[in-house]
Amino acid sequence: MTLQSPGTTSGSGSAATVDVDPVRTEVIRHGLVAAADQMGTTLRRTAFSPVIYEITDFAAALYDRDINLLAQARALPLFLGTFNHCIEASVAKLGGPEVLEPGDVIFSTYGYDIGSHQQDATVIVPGFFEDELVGYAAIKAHHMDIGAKEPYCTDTTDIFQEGVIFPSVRLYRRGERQDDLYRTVLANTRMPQAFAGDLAAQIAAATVGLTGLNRVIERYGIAQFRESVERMLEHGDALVRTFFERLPDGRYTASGAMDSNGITDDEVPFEISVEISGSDIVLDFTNTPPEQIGPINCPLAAVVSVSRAAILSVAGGGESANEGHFRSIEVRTKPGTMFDPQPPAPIYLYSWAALQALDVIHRALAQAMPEAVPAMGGGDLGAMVWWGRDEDGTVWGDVNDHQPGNGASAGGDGGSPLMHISCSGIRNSPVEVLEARGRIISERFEFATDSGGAGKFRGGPGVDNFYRALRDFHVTLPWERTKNPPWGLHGGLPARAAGIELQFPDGTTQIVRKGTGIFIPKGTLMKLMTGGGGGWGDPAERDPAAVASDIREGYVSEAAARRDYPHAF
Amino acid sequence: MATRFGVDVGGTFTDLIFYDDENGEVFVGKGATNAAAPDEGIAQIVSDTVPDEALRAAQFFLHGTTVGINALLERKGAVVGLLTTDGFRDVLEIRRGDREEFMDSLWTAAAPLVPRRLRLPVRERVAADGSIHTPFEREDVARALEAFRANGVESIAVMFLNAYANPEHELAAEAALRELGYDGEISLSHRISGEFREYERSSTTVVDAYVRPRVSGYLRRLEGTLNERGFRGDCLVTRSGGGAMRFSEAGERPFETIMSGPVAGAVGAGELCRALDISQGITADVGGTSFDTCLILDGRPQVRYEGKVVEMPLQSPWVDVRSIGSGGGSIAHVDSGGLLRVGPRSAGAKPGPVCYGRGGTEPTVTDAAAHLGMLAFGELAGGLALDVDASTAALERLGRELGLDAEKTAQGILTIANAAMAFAIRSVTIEQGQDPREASILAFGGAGPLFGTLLAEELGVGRVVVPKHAGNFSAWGLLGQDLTRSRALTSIRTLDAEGVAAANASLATMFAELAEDGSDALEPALDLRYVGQEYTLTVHPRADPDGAIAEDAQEIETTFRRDYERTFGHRLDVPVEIVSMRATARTSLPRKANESSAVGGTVRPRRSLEAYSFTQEERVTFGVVDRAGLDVSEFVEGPLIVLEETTTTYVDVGYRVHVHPSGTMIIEKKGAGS
Repeated sequence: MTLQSPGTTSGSGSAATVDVDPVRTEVIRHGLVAAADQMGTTLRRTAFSPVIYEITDFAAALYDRDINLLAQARALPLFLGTFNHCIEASVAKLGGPEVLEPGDVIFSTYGYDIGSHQQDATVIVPGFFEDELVGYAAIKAHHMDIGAKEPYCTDTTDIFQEGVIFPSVRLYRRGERQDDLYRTVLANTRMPQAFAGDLAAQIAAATVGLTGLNRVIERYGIAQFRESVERMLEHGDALVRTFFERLPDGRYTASGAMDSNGITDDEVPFEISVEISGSDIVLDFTNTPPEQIGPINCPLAAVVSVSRAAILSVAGGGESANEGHFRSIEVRTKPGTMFDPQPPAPIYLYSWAALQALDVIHRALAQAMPEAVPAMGGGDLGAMVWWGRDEDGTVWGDVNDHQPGNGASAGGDGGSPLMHISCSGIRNSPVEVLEARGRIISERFEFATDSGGAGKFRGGPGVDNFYRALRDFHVTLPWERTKNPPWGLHGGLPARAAGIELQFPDGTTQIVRKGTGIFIPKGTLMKLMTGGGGGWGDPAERDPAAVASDIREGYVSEAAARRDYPHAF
Repeated sequence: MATRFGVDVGGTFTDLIFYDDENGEVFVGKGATNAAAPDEGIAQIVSDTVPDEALRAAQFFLHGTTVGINALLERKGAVVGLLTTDGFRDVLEIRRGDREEFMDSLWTAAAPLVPRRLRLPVRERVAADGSIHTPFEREDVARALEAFRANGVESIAVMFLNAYANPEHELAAEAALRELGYDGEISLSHRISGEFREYERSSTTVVDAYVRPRVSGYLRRLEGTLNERGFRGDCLVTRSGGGAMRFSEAGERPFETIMSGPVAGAVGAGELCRALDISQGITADVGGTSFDTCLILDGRPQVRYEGKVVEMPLQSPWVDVRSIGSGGGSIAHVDSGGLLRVGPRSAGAKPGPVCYGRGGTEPTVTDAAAHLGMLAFGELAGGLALDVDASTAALERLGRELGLDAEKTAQGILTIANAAMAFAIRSVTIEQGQDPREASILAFGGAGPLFGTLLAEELGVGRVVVPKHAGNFSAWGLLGQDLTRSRALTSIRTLDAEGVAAANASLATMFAELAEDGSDALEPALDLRYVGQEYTLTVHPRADPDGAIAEDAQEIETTFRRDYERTFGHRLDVPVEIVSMRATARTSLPRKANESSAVGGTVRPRRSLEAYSFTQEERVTFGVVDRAGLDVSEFVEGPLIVLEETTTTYVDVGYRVHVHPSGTMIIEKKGAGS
């Protein structure tokens, strides 16, 4: 299957509509970016779950009536341009745009439509200006639970185990909440209070976005607005094309591997090719393994959005993206493969496959442009999801991500550990905030010596996060890259792979790769060790003074330095 | 009676305002900032502007400083040693994992202020409830101190986990350092910030330790210099959160001066709002490189409790002044996608706008305004004239890339800069649940009054206020501040009678530490949230004279639910909890008497020129008048350009001007009804 953005002009370069006022276009672009940002701000400030307000695991965007992305709030790049398919599918399921009415709120949890696992519940609100449909505000946010077999799982075998499916239903009609439906939604989550709070925040944020959209339209009139939007999209297209025109044409292929599919323990290798011709770019996922029995399949909508993130994190110039930025990007997949699975194949861990895909795309791009991308960062988020019951029976849930070491690049060492670029809005939860909830105490939160890859520029170190359980609970640990260490580039060496070890109070230990619903008795020590960042360039070229400094600061042991940098001694 | 003077040190200029309370007289001075030795620059401008006799009579010196932030920007602070809880040595460098440039895969974080070899572990551990989990090991402090001495450490920061809940071990570390003979600076995290989040508190504590020797040395020298000149009054410096503190306290809490710079303008605007009875004000402070805006509700600039400076978070109150890179010197260019962009690059003071004739070649906002006639005849102080033809030529060159002529290009530059400012204002107001259309714009700074009516038009605002001394308004703002001291403490509790009683106990402890002779207001505040949420709203309950909260839990909760709904647009049916308590002790300086309404400067006969009107979308005839010649009693109809020494006010068609008895210029949209 081939998927392109609507309104694609094939390889046309930067054919600007010169008769459209460039000033008005720039002002309208500002207005739309500001409106989308206000959606994000509203959601973060009103959401209930830390996974939204602290970890910013959400997407919020405005689309026009033709389902072109106008602007998206700064949150997860993984979700860049994620809603096209979802809005199209939702509108089609309801009977077309003509049936939509002001005050409708569409609610979807269907993974193959939203391009996410089902707990990324999506709200779409159609926007009207003087009774005419002018666009959509769309928000997806990670909810703690929507009735999957566990609050977080790594071992599902079909989507029915992954959460209750609401296939684009109208939760509000003409501003009236559909209470039968609303109660059904809340009856299917283990954490109804948090779910209700987060859902209210999503709807509030969508409303804020549509108010901003209408303000822009009101100011300039619908005709001028549409004209300027088209000019704005052409502008985005031209920016990305200018970048790729400079790169040598060719087909660049790179490979990666998933640790396992979550059911069997075998590695799942795959390859992705990047084809550049002129300013057009094709991301080819057709040579990937067949659909997997475990949940690492990545639905097409997610493949498209992660492809967009992969390209724009290199070629986007820090701009707020719109549909125009995607016009040069074509995504090729083969239905029935892991990167275009068919329902009801399980997709719960789709984002882990998407993260690995992004790294592989960057690895391919490194062949065309060595300076454009860093060596691999730890390649994972180091996620931990844990839950239990209070004395009164209330179920609680918590989540934290643990950032891995950052890859080195032509510009220097990896430095501080960073979240994967596809999840760059995410911040870890402070230890003091986690401890204030009284369920765990941290025993270590520190760099691991020798965990970054050696190179002319050294990869950043990974982090050891040790937690002691202060009460009984269950944990899911959906980790990747515990088998294959993060790669170096251009002669740089690989870094430490990620790892998890559980030490139970009875003296037994368990090594975990992907674990679902593991029972953690009070007193267990959980050792979560994130991967390091890969090195960049030949270690023999590292400045001996930098090697000496690495030893002095304790990033590298003297023994490892003598092994990797003999020239420095 | 309280004669006082203020000095605001900016990036390019140092501004002085001296206010004589005896006769209402005001002296204004402006000089180049001496970045290497700002205290010497100040001594110079004081000598040049203030007569010795007046200086001896002055009671207060009020100061806004950038010494602290410059130490951070230039990385020229102390060599800091950091003691951390064993196992948590890298909190400062691990950060939170986020990026400043969220879509740039090559972005990396700046190196931390303290290198790893100087971040040394101490065996100790306090749990979240304040209980001791691992006892304090004094020998680890001794070992660390040896390493610090060997490495030339000048300032020690101590940051132990959960010290906000129990500071016992941080205090033990301080005692040990002193017993071991260390006599340098020490910053303890629980004294710097009583709030949780270890990375943010570490960052704040380390920033404090890093700027401490430089800021305290600077303030000591400055006070000495002023004393030598005969000044005998109190020396005060602006806090990032508004209000002033004595130099002696600033030397102890230098991190509170980090955002001292842009605050004074907002504080001055707050005072102006109270004087003019403006319930909702929005500042538009436009300088050479940036646009700063702040929302002022009921005369109170909005304050936030966590900020970030040079990528480093600070847990400190600060006046919520938002800045975007859009000022008079912002350069216009065409990007690779073919759209016109303005800023964030600025021509700064060197080379400056093209029309300054100092070698600038790229057109700036000022060039666009000059071309359009918005700066009237382009006369500058000292008889210099703007080279408007050079601006026009530069605009023509840029316009060719867009297929626009110089006139359209200039209009575009102003429109885009204006839109960016308007959107910044909108974000600030909408985040607080306010409608900007109900506000008044307070325009000041060198280029603020140029944009006043443009912003009003874009935002639908009916009133623009241009204060006296608008070009030096930040220095003026210094003069109206109170002495304030504040602390905060995190302790999560249910909002009920018991919770309020416990909060009052904590507040009483904080006020006992803060209050001093003459404190005339003890102001408690509470950070509250719905149980289950993380972010808090701060409410300011009524208080007894001793600072105890005088409202019951129910009243406080009602206020919180109302403010929450105003801010976020909905209510939640969930209990409320207290997260942190905040205590502020305020000592008012004597009020200024009514000052003279006169605005200095020349008064020339009314002239006119053709300038571009944004409301009419064509050039029309603008009257050109001197501000000093405007009469208090009359309305003057726009279009009008009002000249004064340090700024130019552009009044578009459809607006009219009158002068308030205080000397403030008020511009109203005709037919706006107010």
